[in-house]
Amino acid sequence: MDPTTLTDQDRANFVAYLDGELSPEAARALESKLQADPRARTEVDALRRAWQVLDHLPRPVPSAASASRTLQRLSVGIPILRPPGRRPRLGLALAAALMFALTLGYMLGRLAPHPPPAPTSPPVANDEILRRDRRVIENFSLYEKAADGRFLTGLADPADHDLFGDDSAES
Amino acid sequence: MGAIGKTSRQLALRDPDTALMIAVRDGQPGAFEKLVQRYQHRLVGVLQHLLGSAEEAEDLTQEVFLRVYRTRRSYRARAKFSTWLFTIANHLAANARRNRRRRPQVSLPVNDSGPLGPRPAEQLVRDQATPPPMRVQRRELADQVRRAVESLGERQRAAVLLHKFEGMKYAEIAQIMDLTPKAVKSLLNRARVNLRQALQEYIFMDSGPLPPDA
Repeated sequence: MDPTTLTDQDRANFVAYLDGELSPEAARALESKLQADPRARTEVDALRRAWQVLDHLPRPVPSAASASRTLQRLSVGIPILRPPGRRPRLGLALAAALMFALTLGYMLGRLAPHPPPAPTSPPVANDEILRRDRRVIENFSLYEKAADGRFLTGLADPADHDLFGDDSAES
Repeated sequence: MGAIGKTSRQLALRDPDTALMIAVRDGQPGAFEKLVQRYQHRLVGVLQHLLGSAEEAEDLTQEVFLRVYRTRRSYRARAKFSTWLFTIANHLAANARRNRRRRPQVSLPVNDSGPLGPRPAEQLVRDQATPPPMRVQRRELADQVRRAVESLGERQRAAVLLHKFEGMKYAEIAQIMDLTPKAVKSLLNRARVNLRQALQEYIFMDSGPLPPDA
């Protein structure tokens, strides 16, 4: 085979040659073959120009407030956003679990045999649940917006370092 | 600066952003803000072309920075900071695309008023500074280039964006995309051939390439 003839391997190296990713020896060998082959030179030139034309690709610019929003989220310790579409599902799951618990409590309260009223008798189950979860029920619209359960339970624990650690002090 | 390993120290000397990330790890005030300012545009730029949505790109950029911040204390420099950052971004973008495939969405065609189009104020400044015929030619060219890039497969597109706009070497792209440098070479070769075909009409304009937008 003529040593100046381009092989398939040489053609596969055109882009790496243009990108400066070939070894110096391989680049020199390819250059000498290109010298002898005007069609191959045109091919390499077309690849080079196509790459230059990419300079016209619109460069997206983030909104002006984007960086400050990121830093603000860190300073207030808001939990990480879930990928779009998952948050509503989590919120719904939380709401459904809460509703289920309330309904179950109510039903149990209705179905349970009622002992004759006595001053020392314990309160019925649904009243117990309502009393225990009164704050949850009152603030249900706020809880609904929370991204996850860990964040909610963490709020009740001042020792939770993920939420109340030193993040804000350092940012 | 706290105690750091030999590799981290060498990388920090060569790469100022690695040094900055080590400062973030050590709790130096203002260091993280600097990193956000340096990389916000770059991440949004790449992610927007990968995902095709400005809003999603900004959300994901926030997510990348939040992950960096939350894992800062365990940071060990094993690569350039940008390589590490874009590795996180690439993983999150892949997850976002996977989630999107599970929940198909109706996408509107991208045009000048869409997320990838120029913002109104920028467009006005550009338009006033450019004679009308060239303006049309430039817009058409930008649109064709965007279409050509969008027509590439996801991995080809990611490799092209990282190489062209982040100026990364094959070895860095390989690390980010969890591939071998040889696979990246082949990916970029195929991408360039596809781009040349898609942009055939525009690469040999008589007057040569138009000046890029300011």
